[in-house]
Amino acid sequence: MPTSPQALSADTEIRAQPAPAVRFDAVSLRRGDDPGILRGVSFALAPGSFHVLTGAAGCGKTALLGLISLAQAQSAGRIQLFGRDASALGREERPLLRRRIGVVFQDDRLLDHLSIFDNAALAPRVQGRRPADYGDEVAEILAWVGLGGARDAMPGALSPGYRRRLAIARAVAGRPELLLADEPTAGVDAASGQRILRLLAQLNGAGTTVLMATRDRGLAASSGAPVLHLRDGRVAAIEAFERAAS
Amino acid sequence: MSGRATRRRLCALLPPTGGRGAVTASAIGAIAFAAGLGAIGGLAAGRAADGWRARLDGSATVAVRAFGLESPEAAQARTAETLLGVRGVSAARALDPAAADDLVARLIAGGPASIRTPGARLLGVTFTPGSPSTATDMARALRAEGLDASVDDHGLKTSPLIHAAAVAILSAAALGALIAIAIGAVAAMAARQGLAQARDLARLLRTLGATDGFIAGLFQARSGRLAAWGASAGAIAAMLAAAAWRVFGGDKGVTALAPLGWADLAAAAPVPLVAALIAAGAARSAARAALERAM
Repeated sequence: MPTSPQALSADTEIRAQPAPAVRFDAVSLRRGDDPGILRGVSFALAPGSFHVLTGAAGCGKTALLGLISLAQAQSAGRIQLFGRDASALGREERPLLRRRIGVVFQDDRLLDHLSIFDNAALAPRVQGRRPADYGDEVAEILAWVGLGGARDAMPGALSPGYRRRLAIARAVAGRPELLLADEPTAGVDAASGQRILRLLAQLNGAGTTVLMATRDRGLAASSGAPVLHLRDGRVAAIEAFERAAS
Repeated sequence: MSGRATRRRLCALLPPTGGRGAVTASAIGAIAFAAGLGAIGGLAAGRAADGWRARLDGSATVAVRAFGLESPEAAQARTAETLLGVRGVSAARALDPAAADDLVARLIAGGPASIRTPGARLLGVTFTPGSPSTATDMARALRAEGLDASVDDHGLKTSPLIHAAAVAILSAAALGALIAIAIGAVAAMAARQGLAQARDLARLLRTLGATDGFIAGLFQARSGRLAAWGASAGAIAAMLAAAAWRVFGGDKGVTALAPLGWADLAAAAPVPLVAALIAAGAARSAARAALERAM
């Protein structure tokens, strides 16, 4: 199961060493006339921790993950990633920081014209590594997610559960220090969901910081991880899932 | 794990273009066809001008008309003797009437019958290289000998030829520049369209840590490849058209005016490479600019 995280809550002073993997200080995100998808959100994720991000549909979970993955910029506040101020990153530095973050998208975003192996190998490939260097590694990751025998197949042939596993394999192949999983069990059966949760827990056990967004309360509860609950554009960190549910 | 992974061919990250790529390649092919013909035509024009200039430079034709009791042949012989005494003339030879007719036919439209003067004879004069004689000196010497002759210094005709050749070559160069711009514009437009359609892919690659240069490189490679294929087809078509020109032009047709050699067809050979380089560069620039604006 996931490692026990540092006690984290809004406005909590971070004393952990080294720097938090993620730190939000009064971060807001607005779009047009929207009063605010996120309003003054503050939290921190210690390195090696496992957190679950919960909230109703459309509450801003995906937007929050998008801020962490540098897919978009906040309207106000400060975001620190691995101790670096994300707003102060130069254009050349942003790709380097992104390589330390793996993302499992809610909609998988698999490339249907590439084989399963090539999908999984995207991250090392864009990082400029040679196939000779990452080939075996990617094959091992595919075997780990249960796709070792299907490396030459196309993603279109996969069930939703296996597509999600491939998305995890792709996110992990870049050896990220932080993994963001957006609804990784959405649209898959319960057994596949538990299998995916175990994969994320194993990754966390190997030292990867994991933030998993989900609306599945059962999954959040079964993870045993602290919950960041997003409501009305604000986040509350609660140690136990039961308190979030209440 | 075997070395299969290391040996596997890296496949293209960008999704297949479908018909859009064929349209781009066709457009570049049509432009390359014009470029190929322009290059071949420019080379042929330049070579034709050089050939004419080589034939005309350093030589002159003298027409002498006999009068009195002197026969045309005697006047022709006396003219040759006089000319050989002029400084800067290395040779003066009498042209037999048939050769003279042929020369006139090539130089003057309308043929020899209309311009031949009864009793006139022609002589071909070759100047001394480096210190050629002039028409004025030769005419003066001929007048001094009492000969009724006129001197046609061929060198005076090279100036318009040089000018015409320069115009032809500059036109070909201008056409080449316009074609380069057109190829660049087509490639840039295709890259912008491709990026718009592959926006999600570009975002995904960015999330995975790809630099803008890496993403732009994908469009650069695709455009370069498409341009190379399209331009190869266009250049081959231009070579075939020029070959037809060469074969069917005829001795008295276009090939007589612009003598196209088989080697001239090679002028179209660099077109695919140049087109690919231009297209690749334009696509990369367009993609980078679009990436910086859009995301």
